[in-house]
Amino acid sequence: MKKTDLEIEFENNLKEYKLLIYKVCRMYADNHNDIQDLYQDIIIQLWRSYPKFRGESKFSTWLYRIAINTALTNFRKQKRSIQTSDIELQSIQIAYEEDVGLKEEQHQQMYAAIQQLNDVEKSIVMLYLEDKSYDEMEDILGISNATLRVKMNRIKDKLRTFTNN
Amino acid sequence: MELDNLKSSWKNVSVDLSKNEFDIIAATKKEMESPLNELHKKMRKQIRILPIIFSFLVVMMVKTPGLSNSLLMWMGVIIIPVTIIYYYFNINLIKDLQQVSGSVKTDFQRKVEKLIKSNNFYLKISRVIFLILVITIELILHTNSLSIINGIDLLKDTLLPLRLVIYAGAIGLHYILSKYTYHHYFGQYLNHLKGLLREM
Repeated sequence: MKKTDLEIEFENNLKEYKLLIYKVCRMYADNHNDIQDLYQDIIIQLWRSYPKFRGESKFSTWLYRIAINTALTNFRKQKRSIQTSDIELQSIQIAYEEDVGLKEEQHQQMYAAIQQLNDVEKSIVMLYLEDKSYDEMEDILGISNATLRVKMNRIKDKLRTFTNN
Repeated sequence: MELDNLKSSWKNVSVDLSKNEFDIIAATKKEMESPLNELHKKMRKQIRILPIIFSFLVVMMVKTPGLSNSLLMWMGVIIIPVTIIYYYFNINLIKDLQQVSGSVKTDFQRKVEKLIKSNNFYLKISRVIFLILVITIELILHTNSLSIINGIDLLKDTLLPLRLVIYAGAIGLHYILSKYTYHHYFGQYLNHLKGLLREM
């Protein structure tokens, strides 16, 4: 089937951000199927919102907003994940054989600790790992710069506690 | 280990996204599996069935002698269009909720406000409709036009204070049912958004 101009434009714009979307999915879904489903949902939501994107914000900011928004409101899958997480809480070991990186034990431990944070905290951590400034985080999440700093400190404390236990 | 130590490995995360399952355009042709989309599908299905039932009732009332005066038939003829309008508004509300605009928090706040407003609007409108219905019944009773609707004479025989109790009971039942209906459709979603906003 022939692609429309808008589809081609959308696909081209999205090309370099595929990994970014994957990372968002990885933060919120804890198995391959859920990652795949969430990835697809984010793409659909981006596609639906794309005609309204007028370049008022950076493409990456717009994309982060929609991706995080979709991940946070996608609570049916969260429920499914919570069920699996509950079982695994005692010894969380989330293996992503297909990933390069996050292989070492300590990193796995930290990643497992991140999984214990609430959804909003996860989004803050993800943006932090993406090296976003607090201003950029504020732009994406809508949480004030000052609140973000306080939250980030609390998150770091929480993660220390989780990894030390 | 500190979170900062994870930054470099996070940057190096890579995955083969060129597989067919991650094809962008193919994904956009599919429907999202969100709870809102499920609700949208359900309502679309119901809104298609209701006009068929309505047409069937109207045909029955026209073709069958005596049915045009039936209280039950009239109730159906009034309730079905109101339900269609209710579904129509809900479908539009879902479409609006499926849109994402602005930062994550702003978008959630907008959706929560929209849901609360639409719930209040629905409650007000349905109360007005109910009030009109009560006034119509009382007018029929006072003008002695009992032949218009079969069975309404039963109410005529009931004393006014008792009728008022019946109306009040019906209003109370309607309030509980509409709250339940709204919660059934949107309550879980609204609570989820409120929970997220509390975390922000």
